[in-house]
Amino acid sequence: MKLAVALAGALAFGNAYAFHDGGVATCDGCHTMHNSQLNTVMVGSGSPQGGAPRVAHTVAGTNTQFQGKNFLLQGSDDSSTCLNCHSGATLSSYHVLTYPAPAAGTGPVNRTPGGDFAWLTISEPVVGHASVVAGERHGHNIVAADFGLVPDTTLLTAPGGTYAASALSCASCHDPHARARYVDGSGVPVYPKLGSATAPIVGSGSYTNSGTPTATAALGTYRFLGGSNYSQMSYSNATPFTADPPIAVAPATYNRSESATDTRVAYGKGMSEWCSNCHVAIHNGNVNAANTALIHPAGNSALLSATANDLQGNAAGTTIGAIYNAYKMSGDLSGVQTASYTSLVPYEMGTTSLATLQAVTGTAGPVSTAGGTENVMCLSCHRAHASGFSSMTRWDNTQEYIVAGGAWMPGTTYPQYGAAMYDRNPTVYASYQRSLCNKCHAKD
Amino acid sequence: MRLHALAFVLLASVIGLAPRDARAVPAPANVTAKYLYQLSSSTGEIPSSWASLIYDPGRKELYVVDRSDGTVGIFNDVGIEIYRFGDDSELGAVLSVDVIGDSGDLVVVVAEGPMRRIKRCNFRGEPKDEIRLRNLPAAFAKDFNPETVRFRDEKLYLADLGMMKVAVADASGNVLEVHDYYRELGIDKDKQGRTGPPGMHAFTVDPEGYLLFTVAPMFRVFVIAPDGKASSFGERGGAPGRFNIVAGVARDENGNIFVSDVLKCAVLVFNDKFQFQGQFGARGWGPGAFIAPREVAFGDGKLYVSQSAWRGVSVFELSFPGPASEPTAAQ
Repeated sequence: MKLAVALAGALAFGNAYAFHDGGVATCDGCHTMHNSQLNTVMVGSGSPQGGAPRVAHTVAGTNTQFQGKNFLLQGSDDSSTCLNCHSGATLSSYHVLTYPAPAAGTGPVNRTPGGDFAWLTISEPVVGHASVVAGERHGHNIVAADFGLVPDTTLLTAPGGTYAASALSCASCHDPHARARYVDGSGVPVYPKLGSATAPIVGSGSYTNSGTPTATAALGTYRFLGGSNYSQMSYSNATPFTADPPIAVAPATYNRSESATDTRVAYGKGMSEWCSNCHVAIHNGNVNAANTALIHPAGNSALLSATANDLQGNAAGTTIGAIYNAYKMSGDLSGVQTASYTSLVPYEMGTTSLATLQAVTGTAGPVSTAGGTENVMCLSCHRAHASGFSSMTRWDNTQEYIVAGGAWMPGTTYPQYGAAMYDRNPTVYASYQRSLCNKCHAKD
Repeated sequence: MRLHALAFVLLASVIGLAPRDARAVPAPANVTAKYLYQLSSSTGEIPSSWASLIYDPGRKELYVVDRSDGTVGIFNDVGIEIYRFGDDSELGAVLSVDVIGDSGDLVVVVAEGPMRRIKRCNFRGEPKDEIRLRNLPAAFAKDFNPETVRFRDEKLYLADLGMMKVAVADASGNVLEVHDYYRELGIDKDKQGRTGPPGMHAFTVDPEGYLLFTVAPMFRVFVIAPDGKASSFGERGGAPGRFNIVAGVARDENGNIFVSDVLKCAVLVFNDKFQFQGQFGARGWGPGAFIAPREVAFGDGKLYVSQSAWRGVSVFELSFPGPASEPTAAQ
């Protein structure tokens, strides 16, 4: 079979190649105005029946013709609406959930920086113990009735905050209507307001090839995370966000195996401050003398240029950044700044410049001396969606070793470990590799 | 077959009777769909989510791959399971299956960690040997990891949905041709904010050798004719004949094309000129309604539709009472 030559002209795809285009999608992409089409109901009534496991609808409504669901949604609930497209059995750039859930003994297929929500369905044996880490400990337990994702049964509100677990959805973090936008390269978001005018969003601002926004053609913020004053419509008790969305850009191909090279998201500024919109009390953005909260710092002020013990008896003889750059693996501190970056311990650049972030490539680590702007953030240790490990950490910090005898966590019956490490080979680490906390602290 | 299913004859919309469950009523223009039943065993409906469906016209059997446990159920022409395999460790987690012509043997794609293997099995699903692809161009093979297989006209069609790549091989694994549809279709790789393939949502090959696949972010169905001529149709939107999230695709012997829409929770029907003929289904939990319909397969006048939320596979009987109409919203 040979593809006909006169193909390109005949197919004429137009510009349709993204549902969101950085902003609000077409209204009828998610909503039905009258719950009627061809004089037939679109969203019907009824309740789950028979079989297992099934969960109840979470969005109410009469569901008869001309009277649809709340918010006029076509989907069963917020997250189910999103996951209709953002899930699947195969790896695809925009998939964030492997569905159906992976068969026993296999891991999720997606390798996005945020992680695959299917980890929520996988329980993890604990080495040396009879117990397991429940799937729900692996990430943000978004509720999606059509996909079997149910509320967290243990953490009933956001740690450090009050946000109800039963209301957690994609729209808790991502503003589906995407009001925040950039109108220039400064990376400072602006919002349309009553009585003022701003530029419309013409594309995504999430990628290294997103280009530069202008005063007449704005770009959306990173993953259209909710901006200041964002409040999820379907959660009546939500406290409006106080922080602007963080700025960051991802490579265009971001859902990929990291067996050979890391996927580097250039995080700019504001991630931890934004996470604290919900996780208020858990956030501490300061370091050293100002750190009176005795919580691991994370935020714009938690600079990697902060002083640290140089392991030679000098309490302030080096910096966190210098250790990051030198650390290769347990016991090996012979690394160099130009090759020190790892996506298992990412950091923020400390800039809001879109151009600067879009230019970030390669494996260079942070500036380790005074004047360095890089900082630790929540995502330095955690994934945003889910991971293969408890508390959605990027590596398993519940065990003494992540590699022992040259193999991942020997003795475990956890065959998904390789998937949880994004297909890395354990030989990139020491034959007895301890926690990656040491990437910044080098206590091993 | 369950007798209660007959209550959902969709011809009711034609003769003016209201069915018991309005959600099962289609909005037919030139096609009617009668909900028949759910695929079942002797003990009741079989739950599954987004199962893969492959129809064997020779034996009038449907193969249903449940990726949540890596097993394959085989159903007869009245929707009763007659055999299941893959529930042991010998074969591995099954991703896709098809029947190798008259031999009765099966070609099976299984997952072994992140990699896939292609195995030839007997009709019981017992492995006989592994099919190793030969003469696969190195540049093509670099990121080719197929998870879907079809066997038509003595050829294996192996598709990597995410990369939008298809390799065609003979039954022994000798590669005859390869297609990188992301490149060949000229999909705009410079579209702002993207450079990678958008990925196929579904891929199949009909008995006449037409390749069909859907690309959700483009809201389009692609049809590659046996002579290689490529066509596509589809526009985004919620109106009749348009796609919200296009998913499964199948083609009958008359060239009618059936497309499931995951968000709209409907199956849209187009004729061989891609003219919209009608749609049926609505979101709901009752008989004949859908929760996120995904894959579709056509065989012997029946349309099989897999769904999410452990809703299993619904079976409809289709008929085309009138002449095809002129194009409506599609194209």
